[in-house]
Amino acid sequence: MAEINNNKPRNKQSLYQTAVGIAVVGGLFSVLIIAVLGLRYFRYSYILPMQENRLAQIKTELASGAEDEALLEQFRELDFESRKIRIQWYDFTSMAGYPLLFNLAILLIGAKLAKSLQNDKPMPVPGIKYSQFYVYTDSMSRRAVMTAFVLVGGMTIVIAMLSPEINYFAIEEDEETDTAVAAVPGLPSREEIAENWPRFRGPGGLGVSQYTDIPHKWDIETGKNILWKSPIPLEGRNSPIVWQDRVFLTGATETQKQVYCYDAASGELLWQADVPDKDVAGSELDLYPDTGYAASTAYTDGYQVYAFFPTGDVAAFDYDGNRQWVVNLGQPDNIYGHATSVVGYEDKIIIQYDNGLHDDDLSWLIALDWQSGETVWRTPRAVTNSWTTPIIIETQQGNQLITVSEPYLTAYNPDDGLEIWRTDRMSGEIAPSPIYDNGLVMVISPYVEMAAVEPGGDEMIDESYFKWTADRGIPDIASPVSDGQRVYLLSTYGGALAVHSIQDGNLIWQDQLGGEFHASPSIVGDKVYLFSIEGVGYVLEAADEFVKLAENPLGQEVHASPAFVEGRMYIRGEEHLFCIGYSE
Amino acid sequence: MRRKDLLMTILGVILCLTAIAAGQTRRFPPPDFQSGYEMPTTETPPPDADFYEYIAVAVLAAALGVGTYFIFVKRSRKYAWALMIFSLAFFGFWRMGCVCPIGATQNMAVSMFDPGYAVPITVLIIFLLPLALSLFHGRVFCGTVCPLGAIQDVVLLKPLSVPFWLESSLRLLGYLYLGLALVLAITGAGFIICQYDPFVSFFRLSGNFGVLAIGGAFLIMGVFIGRPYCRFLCPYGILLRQLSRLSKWKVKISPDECVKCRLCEDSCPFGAIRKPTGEASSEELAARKKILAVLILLFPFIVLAGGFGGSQISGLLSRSHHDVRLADRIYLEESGQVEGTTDESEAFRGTGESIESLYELSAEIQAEFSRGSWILGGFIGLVIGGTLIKHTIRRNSDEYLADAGDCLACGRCFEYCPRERLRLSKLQEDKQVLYG
Amino acid sequence: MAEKDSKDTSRRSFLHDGLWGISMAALGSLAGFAFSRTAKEKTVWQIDPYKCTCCGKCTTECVLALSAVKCVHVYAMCGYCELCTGYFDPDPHELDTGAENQLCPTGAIIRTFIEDPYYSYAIDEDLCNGCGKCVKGCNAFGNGSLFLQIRHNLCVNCNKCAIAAACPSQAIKKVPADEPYILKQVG
Repeated sequence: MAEINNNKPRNKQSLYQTAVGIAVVGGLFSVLIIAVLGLRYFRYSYILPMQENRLAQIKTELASGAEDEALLEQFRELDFESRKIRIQWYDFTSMAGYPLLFNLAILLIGAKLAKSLQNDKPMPVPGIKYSQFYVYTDSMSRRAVMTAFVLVGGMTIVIAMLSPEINYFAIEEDEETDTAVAAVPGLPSREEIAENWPRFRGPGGLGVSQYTDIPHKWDIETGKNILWKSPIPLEGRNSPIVWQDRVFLTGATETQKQVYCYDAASGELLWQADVPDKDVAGSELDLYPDTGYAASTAYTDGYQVYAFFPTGDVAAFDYDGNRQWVVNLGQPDNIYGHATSVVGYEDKIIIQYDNGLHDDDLSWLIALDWQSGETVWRTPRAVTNSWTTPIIIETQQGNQLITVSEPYLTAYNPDDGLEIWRTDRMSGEIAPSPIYDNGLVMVISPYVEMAAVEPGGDEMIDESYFKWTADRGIPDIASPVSDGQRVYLLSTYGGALAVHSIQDGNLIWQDQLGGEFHASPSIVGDKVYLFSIEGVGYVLEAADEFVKLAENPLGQEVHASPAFVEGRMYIRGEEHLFCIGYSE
Repeated sequence: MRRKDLLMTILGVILCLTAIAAGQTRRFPPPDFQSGYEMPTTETPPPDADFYEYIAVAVLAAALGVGTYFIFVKRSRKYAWALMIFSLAFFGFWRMGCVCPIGATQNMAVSMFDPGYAVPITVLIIFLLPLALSLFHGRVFCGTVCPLGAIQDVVLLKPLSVPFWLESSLRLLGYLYLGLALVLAITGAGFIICQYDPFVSFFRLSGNFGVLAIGGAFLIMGVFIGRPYCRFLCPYGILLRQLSRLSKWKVKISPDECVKCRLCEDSCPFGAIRKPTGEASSEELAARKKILAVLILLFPFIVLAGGFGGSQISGLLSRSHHDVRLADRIYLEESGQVEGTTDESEAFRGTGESIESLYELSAEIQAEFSRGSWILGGFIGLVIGGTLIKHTIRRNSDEYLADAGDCLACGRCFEYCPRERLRLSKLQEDKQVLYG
Repeated sequence: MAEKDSKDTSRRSFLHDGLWGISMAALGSLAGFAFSRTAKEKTVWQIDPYKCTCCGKCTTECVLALSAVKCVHVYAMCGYCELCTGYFDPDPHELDTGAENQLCPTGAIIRTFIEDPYYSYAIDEDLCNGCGKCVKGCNAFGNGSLFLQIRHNLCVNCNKCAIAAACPSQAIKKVPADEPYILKQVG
């Protein structure tokens, strides 16, 4: 610098100082304007929102009816202040640009002038061999470019790995895998299910057997048509289920829960397994004796057996009696104790776990994974506790899971548990399960009515879906059964039997069997099988009039619906499991 | 308090009316005025007439012509500088920087792929004129007409030289930016060149804080590094650079012959001056040949690797598209992975369109991005390969030359050349300054 | 040696000329192709009021500090209500012009008494920041005569509208410059 100044005439040096001075003045003003701009921006973007929050707060206070003059005054002052900040910001941004630009121009002119007075034109250092220079720079450039390529490439791959992937069609793909799972051996096919009796009231839960070669007469005294009888260790009111050569039952007391596997041929108890308490102790339950500690029928998929107890415990055992998993569905709250049976759908085990009152938020429809017992989905239900078992029906719109509880009859998609439609017509303490026949879902509101509903629509369905209703001989515990033309309703007390036409719900006939009934009626071919608590098995003709074919006492109480497979019927008595079939 | 009751009643009536007339816009009948009140009409101030656009095109053409004259005939930095200031004022502060040829690149790309997208004729001309000129006279547009270049040029006070290797690596950013901008424009994700234009908010003297900060950073950088945006990022500059390599007439430092005095050596703040190379040794040639052979063999793999790398970020890139983001959000909401809704998801649900079709649309756009990112990556690979080859082939020259691609035609170097000063009869003055 | 050099040069210049020709042809065909698709008329950005959800992004996203989006009033649709839900807070303290009763954060709506029971509402566009609070109110309970529009005396007509890029309902689109507004229609 000194060197340059020495070489310059005096006036040039003073010109240089003037140029620097100009640049400094331009710079100072620019900084000043930018500072004011910054301050206004701060007020606009930080103070203003705070004030607006406060304003909103005062507004709500004022709206709540407070006649507060001071508060009103405060609001107006603050409002004025915030508008000032806003307008100052808008005005300044639209105005300040020009003086700022002007001052920046002054700064630049001064700086450029000063620079041009500094004679600092570059003077290259001598002695570089340019041929070597380019060899060097070219190779450096190649390396740098290559390095940049590799670095950026690596970075993109890291970023790509870290960024989440979203597949909108994941749900659909899951469905595909579901069918794949269903197709693998281990999960039963439709035909296999139809041949067996895997759940409460058989395939579909309708109480209808596809076999007809089952005796309608048997004699406990002579042993006629009684193939075997086997003692059951613990009591229970659940029904037998059958898969090929195995029959499963459960039994429980206040302190113990067990699953039993019998040999279908001999009646031998192949194994019995304990279900441990999970979280909730059975002793805390105060159950209604008519329900008992093992009212829920188990479910089997030909691979494992799944048992559910009023404690909320669900357990899975393989066919050798090895426990696979136990889960607890949560604290039960059911006035008579849970009686709903386990149902299965593809690879899911589904339990209608209704607790408390409809506004208690305690009721759930829960699907567990058959292999792990983990929850697949869980759908909350605004319903009161119930004792019904859902059925899964096939409709043109796809499969539907039909549940009944007070106050809703609700259909769900069994794949994901999402609701399809519902109606709020259900009332009372509901124990009879729904049935499906002739394209109609038939549901019972105890003592009130039976309604036949076309499954369809969405959300809350209207009256147009109700095909008919019937109010004669409406049962309270036993589920209805349909032979395709008639629906049979069986009341607990007096064995009152009412038969309605499935076409229009009109009463066809009604009669009294006498006695008391808990077990639901079943249809086997052209016959109706009914079991009274006293243990009498009535067999009627499925016809437009009352025709009693047989009356077979069993000698012990029966509370559970029987199971029917090819040539055989399994009845759970108070103490024994009976196998009925033609004995030669 | 009576007033309040009345209010509530009115509000109640309104709410009832709302319930009845849901979906119907008109809830209250038009009043029947008795006092002779006249209903004002809604004002609709019109936009600027087309006329201004044509003026802008005419001024652009004129400026390019004048600029060419100043650089190639007058060879005057002063005149060129004056034109640059005029352009800064006219295209920058008066026209507010929009539409500029840089941004028009995106409009052109979209119109190539979307038959429904029409480019205004003025935009087409603005895009093509500088490119066409570059085939004859190089980057006159950059040096004298472009307002973005001008604003960086005026702040350049103390240029530092950028090492060769850094220059050639940083330059890749421009190619990446260009490729990215084209992919995003064609897929309909947006115009990033416009969105992140660092200087346009200065021209408008208004803008949001983020973009102003980026622009400020570029200008502060520009005090020490000559035109950083032009050299390292400008996507349009890349097109101009490639075409200028082929230009009929190139900017020459010396008006006639180079005397290799080395005075101009460091005069270019943009690193565009190439030194004489001398004769190559046979070892050097052999080494270069070997590298070249390897590079040519590697070339297809570099392109493929680039394409693969690009394809990896296709998912991420596609999230810059509004519809993909919306579909993601809707999916997350539907599957219960997030709580609540956004303005976007609510607006979508308000339209009543089906979620399935949104998913499908999003999947289609993502497929487009997947193709686009392969091409983008391949393009980057191509650029890398090309750059490597360029740095392997020996350039032979025995004089100081302005690189045809890199020279921005600013005219700074002219006055450094003693032959130029001789032409302008300025040598006597120089002697006087130097020796008194 | 000299011969080789000249051969080299001529080859280079041939390559150079060839590339030049190709580039020229490419630019020419690009021009021709694009020209066949050019729009003969100028277009500008505008908000479709039927799509707008009044999210408030117009206030913040416009490249101008004070947004070019303003509330526009089609008087023929207005009900001239005393209790205007575009003007008043949902739960107003009093039905007067007190700041605490107004919905507009900038006080840009001018309320004038006309005759019993009618009041007129006009927008002061110098104050309006396009937040759309009044539009929301008017749409919810009124006739929907207030809505947002881009004012072309203010809009700088960016190549890509910054608000359009951020609009959650994609309500901003290009319209012909000779019909630059999408006004709501009576009925």
